[in-house]
Amino acid sequence: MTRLNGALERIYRNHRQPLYTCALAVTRCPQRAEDALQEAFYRLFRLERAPDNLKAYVFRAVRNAAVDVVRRSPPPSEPLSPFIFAPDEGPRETAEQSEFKRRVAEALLTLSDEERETIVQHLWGELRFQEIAQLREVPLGTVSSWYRRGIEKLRTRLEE
Amino acid sequence: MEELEVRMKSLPLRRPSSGLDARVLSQIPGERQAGAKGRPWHCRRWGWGLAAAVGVLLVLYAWLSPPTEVCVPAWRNSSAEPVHCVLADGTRLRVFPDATVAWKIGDQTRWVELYEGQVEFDVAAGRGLFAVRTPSGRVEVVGTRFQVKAYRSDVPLRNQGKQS
Repeated sequence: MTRLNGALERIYRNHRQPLYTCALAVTRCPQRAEDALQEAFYRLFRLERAPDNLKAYVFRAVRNAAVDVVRRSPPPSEPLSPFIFAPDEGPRETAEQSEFKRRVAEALLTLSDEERETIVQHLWGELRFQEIAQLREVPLGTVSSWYRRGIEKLRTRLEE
Repeated sequence: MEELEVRMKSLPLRRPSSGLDARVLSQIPGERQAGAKGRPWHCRRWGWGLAAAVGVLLVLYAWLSPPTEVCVPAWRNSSAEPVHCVLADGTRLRVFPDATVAWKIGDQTRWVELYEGQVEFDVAAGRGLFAVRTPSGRVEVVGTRFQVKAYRSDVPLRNQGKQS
């Protein structure tokens, strides 16, 4: 195995959950999110040179693959419930937690694609604003305003 | 980070299926083990004769070493939707729900074992024969797109042919 593929494997093992969550935010379908991850890593394992920021590059590759998957077959019309969150935590989860999860999932789906993706990438994808700006190829200020605006909308919807 | 963000961050996330690791990591292209290449050569006494012998040994080692292979043990698509897999040689599989498959992609061999169910293949051309084995028969192709169904009620195949 080359050094680059070893580094990619480590990134996959350490960030599998955030990568999957970010792909799921785009595809809104668990199966397609996994397809996107597989396609992205198929291409990544065949890279000839290591990019500067490998982690951001991997997240960008997974996002691009997720966008491609959605282009090929649009997300199902039935919204994924409860979106990126675990469907049922069993007896450990209280009714209040379950209700909060459902409301956050619904509120997230009402945001614009940019706002929703930025919030998912930052809160659950473990990416800093600088990394999101790099992978989306937009200025840092744009990312932070997408995030702030999205959080404000979520707050308003959750208080309703 | 404010209270709402902290509370949202603590929500449990949907987890990927257990088969994802095999699907992703089986795509790492294998490589031959590095040989003695690059070792310092201190003994000048034997000169070029020994260097040539080492060269011959290296060539023999590369020739005789086992081919690079990527194996995935039997795996069943237990989800309700077809799963797309890309094998190490670029062949694409669409594994339908409840189908069970295993595959081995190497320098010399490319085969998929379909134990049960339905799989659609888009075989990458230019890498030699690609075989699909089922309980009722075997299909060998060079590069094409086709579907194979294997169910317990099937009768064994009588004729075997090659398709390009």
